[in-house]
Formats: sequence, structure tokens, C-alpha cells
Amino acid sequence: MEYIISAMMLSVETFSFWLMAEALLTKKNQRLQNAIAFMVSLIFGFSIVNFITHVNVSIVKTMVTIFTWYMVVLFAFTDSWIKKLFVVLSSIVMIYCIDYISACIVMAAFSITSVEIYASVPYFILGAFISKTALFTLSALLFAMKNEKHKMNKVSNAECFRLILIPVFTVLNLVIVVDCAIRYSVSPVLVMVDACGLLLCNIFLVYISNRLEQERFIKKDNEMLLQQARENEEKATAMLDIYTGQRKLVHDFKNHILSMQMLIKMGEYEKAEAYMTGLCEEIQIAGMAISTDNPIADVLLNQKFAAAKAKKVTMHISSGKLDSFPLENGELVTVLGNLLDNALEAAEKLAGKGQIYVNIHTQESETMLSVKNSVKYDVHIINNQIFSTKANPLLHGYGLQNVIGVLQKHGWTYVMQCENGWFQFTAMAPQ
Amino acid sequence: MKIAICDDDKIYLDKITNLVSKAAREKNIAIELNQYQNPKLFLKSDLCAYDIVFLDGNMGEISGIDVAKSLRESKADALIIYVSAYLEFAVLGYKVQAFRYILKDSLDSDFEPVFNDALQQLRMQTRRIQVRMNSDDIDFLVKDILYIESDRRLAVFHVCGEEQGLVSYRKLSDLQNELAQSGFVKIQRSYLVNMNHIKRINGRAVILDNGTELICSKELQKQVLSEYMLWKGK
Repeated sequence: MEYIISAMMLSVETFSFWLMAEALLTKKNQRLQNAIAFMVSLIFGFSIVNFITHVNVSIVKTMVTIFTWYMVVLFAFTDSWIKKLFVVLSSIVMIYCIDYISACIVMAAFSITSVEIYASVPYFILGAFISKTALFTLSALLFAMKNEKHKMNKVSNAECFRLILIPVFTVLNLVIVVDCAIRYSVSPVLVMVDACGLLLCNIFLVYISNRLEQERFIKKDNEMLLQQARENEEKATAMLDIYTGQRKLVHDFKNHILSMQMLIKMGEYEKAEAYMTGLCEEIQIAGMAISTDNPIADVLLNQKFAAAKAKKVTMHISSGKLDSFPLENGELVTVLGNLLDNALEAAEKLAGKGQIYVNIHTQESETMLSVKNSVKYDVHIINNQIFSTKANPLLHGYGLQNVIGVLQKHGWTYVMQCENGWFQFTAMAPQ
Repeated sequence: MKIAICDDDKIYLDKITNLVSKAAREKNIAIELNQYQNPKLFLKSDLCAYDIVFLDGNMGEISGIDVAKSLRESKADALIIYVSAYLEFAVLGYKVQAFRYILKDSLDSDFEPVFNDALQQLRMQTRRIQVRMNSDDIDFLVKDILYIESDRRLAVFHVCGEEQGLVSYRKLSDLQNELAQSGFVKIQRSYLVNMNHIKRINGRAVILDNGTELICSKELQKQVLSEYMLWKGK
């Protein structure tokens, strides 16, 4: 029985260690290599259990575990050797601390001594169960935090609660079971089977929970990719419109010149002059364009300005020359395009009274991009996320998340605020 | 308040004049309005006197940008509002720190918000603060204050063009409330800085346009940067 309990404990320890290593270190992206490393640590661990059960020297067990785990992380992770060693040693220390605390809890709960814990199988199982459940929960929490950090989020309180709730109640349940088992002299084997079953249930539930979380993020990522694809399509359409417009202009002017030539040949000078005056007015309308020396910014600003005009939204643009603006073309489309789209969408709800202020410049001392727009209702901003009443909240805010993603990639600082009927998003490039 | 309108197109010159007069009447503001169809005459006038100038972008041989450059030499803080058929003045106007521009075809709809913004800006530019110094009351423009330093119960006003700080019995917390709308931000327990004079923020160093470097407190660093960015991006 001692062998089975030790093997169970070791399996949980190995699995928890693996989660902690994944949370704190960078895994090599080779599935087979990782699987081999994990299996080696597990099989080697079982051999140690067998060995230790016979020699019963805990210092040897500790040293061999450190060595095995260190070899495994050397093989499966990419970080520096010192960081790997630190993670292994920290994990061992954490395991011992949790073991000690769990033993103290059992001693306090049943008013017994440490000797009695080891003498009584149910108490020992309870101590081991509390210890390993706590270890596994902590590792799972650490792993979830790393995943969320990677996705630039924080672990929500609900998620923490969900991860902790089941282990806490299974521990409570086992305390009651052990108490009853001792009172009514239930077989320790049954207690052990119950404890093992509960432990497996915990692991399985955390696994299922993580999978669901991962699927949620995959869905979110897909939505973001779709959004980016839509932006690129819009960009391509805008470019095509400009190209078609230019072709049309060239084609039209060829005809205009031919017509004027004909009028001059016919001696109709007054008609030719009138024709030319009309053309000049046409050129003025065509020339109503912003020119920042950055073609992408020009396309976006002109396109959105025209869209704002069509929606009866007043757009004030204050822009310097943007030829050296420190974002790639695609990134500028994502950032400026999304901010202007959001601003337009909000401002048009004000029925002809909507306003947008665009301030974009790059100077010696700073590069800044700011969009401020009037809003019908103030929105709540929590952790740089907007909470809206839109019908499909899943789709809302992806534009802004894409903007933030690009800005964070380049180390920009950004801030957003919504108060007194105005929303403002301002970003500054690192100096 | 003195306003000039400079446009070689008589129709727009009259139209803008009517819009300004109407808005001033509605808001009960006393204005002195001067019309110029010839930009050369405008440049020969007393440019220092104008608070707001409506400028056409293209006026034949002289461009609106050249006119604005000459105006800036005489009066740096006059509010220039371009009224143009061309959107390109959004960029060209930036060179001469134009306040806003209005497209001629949107004049009717866009005039009012732009004029309101200009009035608000003008109020900020002309706001004055009165402080008691050695039993004398002195007042100066808020926009000229670089920063205010607190020295126990004293407030030391560091003002543009003054080598020595002006000392007065004022609490920094009172001044912070009083000047919050004018773009002042507290960067540490004893410094209140005018964001209009911040050249850049580098980590915890707040560098002012006269070269003064002040250190922001660790606790307020993030908040100061946010407030500065929101102020700049307004």
C-alpha cells in the first residue's frame, strides 16, 4: 500500500512540477521531446520510489529527484541552466513546504502528533491528499497565470475561484471521510481508493477547465484574425478605388484635352475658356485631399474623412508630415484604421452633432497619435478594455485589442479615457 | 476680442463675417471685426491686436501659409483658423500651429463647434491668476507659469521670463484644484507643473521647454504620463 500511495504522490508531484516548469520556463517546441522528458521523469521517479521504499532515506530521495528533474528541464526547456536549476530547487522547496503545512493542518484538525500521522494510514492518506491537491492547484494556477500573461490578460477572479473551489471542497470531503473511517474502523484501503479517485477527479477537472479556456482563446484569436482580414480587405478596396479614380481622371482628361483642341481648332476660343474654367473647378474637387507624405496615412485619413462627411460627422485633422512615422504600413492601417472606425461608429450616433479630433504627428521629441470623439453614452474602461452594450460583445473590442497589440509590440505607451461625452485614445512612441 | 477675416473671395468673406457676428451676438460677446479681401492689407495692419484670424488657404499670389508665418512673427499666440477648399491645410496648417481649419463646403455645419473651441482656447490663454506677494497683489497669465513649487506653506511660482520665483502664501493643494482645468499636473508632493510647458517626459524626468528638469515621484509617474498624454492629444 505504501508503494501505491508513494507512486500516486510522485505522479502528482511530477505532473505539478511539469506545469510549474512550463509556467516559469520556455518549452522547446517539440512535442515528442517533451513527451519523452515527461515520461522519463515519471518512470525514473517510480524507480526511485521503489528504491526509496527499501532504503527509506529521504535525503537520497531529494537529491535524486533534483538530479532527475534538472536533467528533464535541461532536455525539454530552452532557458539558461541557472534559471532551470532555480525552478527545480524552488519546486522542491515548495513541495516540502506544502507537505509540512498539510501535516500541520491534519495535526491541528484531529489533535494528533506527527508520529500518529505516519502510524495511521487514513491520517497519512489525508495529509498526502491535502498536500498533493494544494500542490496541483497551485501549479495549475501558476500555469493559467502564465497563459493569461502570454495573452496579455490577467487571470480573472472567476477563474481563480473555479480553480480553487473543487480542490477545497474535495479536501473538506476527505477530512470528513477520514474522520468517519477512524470512528467506524473502515478499511484504510477504501479511504485510499477514495482519496486517489478524488485526486484524479481534481486533475481531470482542471485539465478539462484548461482545455475549455484554451478553446475560448483559440476562438478569440480566430475572431481577431478575421478582423485583420477584414481590415486588409478594406485597405485593398481603398487602394483600388484610388487607382480606379486616377485611371478615370487620366482617361477623362485625355478626352477633355481633345475636346479643347477641337474647340481651339474651330476658333471657338470663348467656349474653350469656359470649358477650361469648368475643368479647373473639377480639379479643385479632386485635389481636396490630405497629404502627409505617407501614402497609407493619406488613404486612411482621406477615406475616413469622406466617410465622416457622408455620416454628417465633423472630423478635425491635425497632422504633421508622417513620412518617418515609426509603424509599418500594415500596422498603421490596424492602428489608425481601427481607431477612426471606432470613433466614426460612436460619433455618428449623435445625429449630425458628432465630432472627431485626429491629432497625429512625428517630431524630434515625440511621436503621437490621438483620436478623440464625442459619444452618446460614456463607456466603462476596465483594464484597457471597453465594456459595451453591443449585441455581440465577442466581436466588440477586437479592433481596439489589435491596436493595443501593435502598440505593445513596439513599446508604445497608450492611454484611453471616456468622460463627459468624449472618448479619447492617445498613444506615444518610445523616445 | 479682436477678430480678422482674410479671404480674397468676397462671397466667403461676407459669409464668415455673418457667421462670426451671429455667433458673437448669440453668446453676447463684444467683438471688433476686421475684413480683408487683400492679404497684403491684412499684413500691413496691426497684427498684434488680433486674437482670432480666419484665413483663406489660397489668396492668389500670397498663400495662407505665408500670411500665417508673418502673423506668427508678430503674434505667436493668435488663433489661426483656416477656411479652405482644400483638406491639405490639415497638414500645411500644422506647420504654423493653426488652431483648426474648416472646409468651405462645410462652413455652415462646422463653424459653430470650431468657433466655440476657439473661444474656450482663448479663455485659457488669457486666464490670469492673482497672488499676494509682500503685501502687494500681483497678477500674471496662467499660461506663463512653468511650474509651482511648494515650500512648506509657501508657493513659489516659476514664470516664463522671470529668473527668480514669485513667492506667495498659497497651498499647493488649493492651486492644484484651481488650475486643474488649465493643464496643471502634480508630479510630486511639492511640484505642480504646467503641461503646456512640458517638452517631454523621459522616465521619471519631466523636461520643460526652458530646459528645467523636474523629477516625478515613483507613485505618480504612471498617472502623470497618462494625464500628459491625454492633455497633449486633446
